[in-house]
Amino acid sequence: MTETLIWTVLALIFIGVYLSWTAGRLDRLHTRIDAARAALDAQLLRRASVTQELATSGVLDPAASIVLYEAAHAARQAEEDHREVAESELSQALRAVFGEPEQVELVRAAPGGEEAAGSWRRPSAGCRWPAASTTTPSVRPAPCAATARSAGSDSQATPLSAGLRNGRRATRGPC
Amino acid sequence: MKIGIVCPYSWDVPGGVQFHIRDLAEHLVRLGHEVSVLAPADDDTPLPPYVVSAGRAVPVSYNGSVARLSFGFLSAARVRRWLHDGTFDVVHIHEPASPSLGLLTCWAAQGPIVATFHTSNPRSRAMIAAYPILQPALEKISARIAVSEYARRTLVEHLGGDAVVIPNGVDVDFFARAEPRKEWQGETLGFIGRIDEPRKGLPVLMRALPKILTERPGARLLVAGRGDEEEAVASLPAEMRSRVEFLGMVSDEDKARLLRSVDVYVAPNTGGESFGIILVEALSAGAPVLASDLDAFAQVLDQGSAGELFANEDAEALADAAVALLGDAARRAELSARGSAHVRRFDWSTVGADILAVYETVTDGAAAVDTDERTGGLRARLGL
Repeated sequence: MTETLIWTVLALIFIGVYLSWTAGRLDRLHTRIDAARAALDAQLLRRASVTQELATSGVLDPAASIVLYEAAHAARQAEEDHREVAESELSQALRAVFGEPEQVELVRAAPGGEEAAGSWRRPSAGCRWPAASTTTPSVRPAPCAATARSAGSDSQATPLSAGLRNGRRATRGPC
Repeated sequence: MKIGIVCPYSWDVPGGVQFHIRDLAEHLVRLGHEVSVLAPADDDTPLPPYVVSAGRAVPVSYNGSVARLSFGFLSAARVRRWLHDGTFDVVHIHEPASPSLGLLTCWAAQGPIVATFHTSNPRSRAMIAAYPILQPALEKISARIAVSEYARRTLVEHLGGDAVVIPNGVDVDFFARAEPRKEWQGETLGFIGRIDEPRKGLPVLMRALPKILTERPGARLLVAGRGDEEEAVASLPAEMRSRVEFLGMVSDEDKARLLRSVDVYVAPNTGGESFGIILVEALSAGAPVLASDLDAFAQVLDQGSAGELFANEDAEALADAAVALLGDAARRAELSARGSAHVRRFDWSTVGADILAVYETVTDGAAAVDTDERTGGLRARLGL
């Protein structure tokens, strides 16, 4: 009798510890997603701003300038739902213009060009960092985590990077 | 005269601007001028002898749709080389406001530059913001041509300055001499255009059709153009579907023969037309035309004297007008005669002479076109 009680208490303690550990893990992952998302957002905004600045600088030819300007404008003004597509289109435009090595050299040669080149490369790295976040969904469906929803809200668990990677435009995404 | 023409869109993709440039170039060559056309084209596309390829156009999203444009360092270099080798007396640019070869040429050239504006897009917010980028290039244009009064108005409102209106040209005799086909004659209505593009107006015609067929049971509708045929007739009662014949994509010759054969050509387009070349082709073929009263169409049809107009998107009005026309052979003959006389002003002999007159005005006493060496960034901005 006592033995059964002890086992039950032990089992309960074990389940409790496991739940608390899982919840902690989930919470940490959510924090990481938020941090990564904020960082990516900042990088994308910065990319769009630098693109707009470059488009109006007169360093590039007017046709390329207008293509870049319109894409950057769309990316900055996009609503949350269309953001992913708009950013992908900006990536596409940047790739189309800077696919030619001579063009990149031309920008680098201009004052401040070196920094500008850096700001386009950063978002693609930023997309990769939250890769850890893709493990979050694998934690979430665990039955105990589902019943004991203690950490983070599920609505946050769809990372932007997942959309960019697996979405319709995955191959052309900023990543 | 040595004339350089710049086409902004891919030569291998059929389109109104491309056809216009092809016909203009061939017309000028026939008159004995030396013509070179610079156009984006894939490497393996067979090109006429007067076309110089500027390389492949890159698909990018622009103005809400994916367009194939030419821009960037390599294209700019090719434009400079073409300008340098060509030593043209005049350069004729098409669509200089779209970010492609036209704008690049405008930027890279100096000397007599003529520009034709084809479209009449509503101005986007991004476009207003990008205007300072366009302006220095557009300021170099010596003479501006708009293809219609409508395109001219948009140009005046959006970019400022004025333009002469010279319509798109058509080879009137090609259509006038086409042989009618027996099976396309006898109470036939004609429609040519993309079936699945609502802007071309086939849905309006489909709404009007039941009434037309009730009044004129012998009537038939012939539709030429790409698109889903099942979907197009889905709104019709089943017994009327056999009165609609789909011809698919037709060749230029068949298009001319179709226009020669039909009793009434219907153009129910609902908007977005800046010119309406198809109306001019129908008039050339002597087809009585019934069109929606878009600004551009009213212009081509001389405010309704060379063809009948109905209130845009009004299927009821379209049906009434079509029934009246089908039942009145005298009126049809009158429209056909008036249309054939009116359409002469759109013939290449007239249009080509007008364009040449513009060339002569800008080249008079001016040096030949050359590359502009002041395009290098900061210096160009400061006007040094």
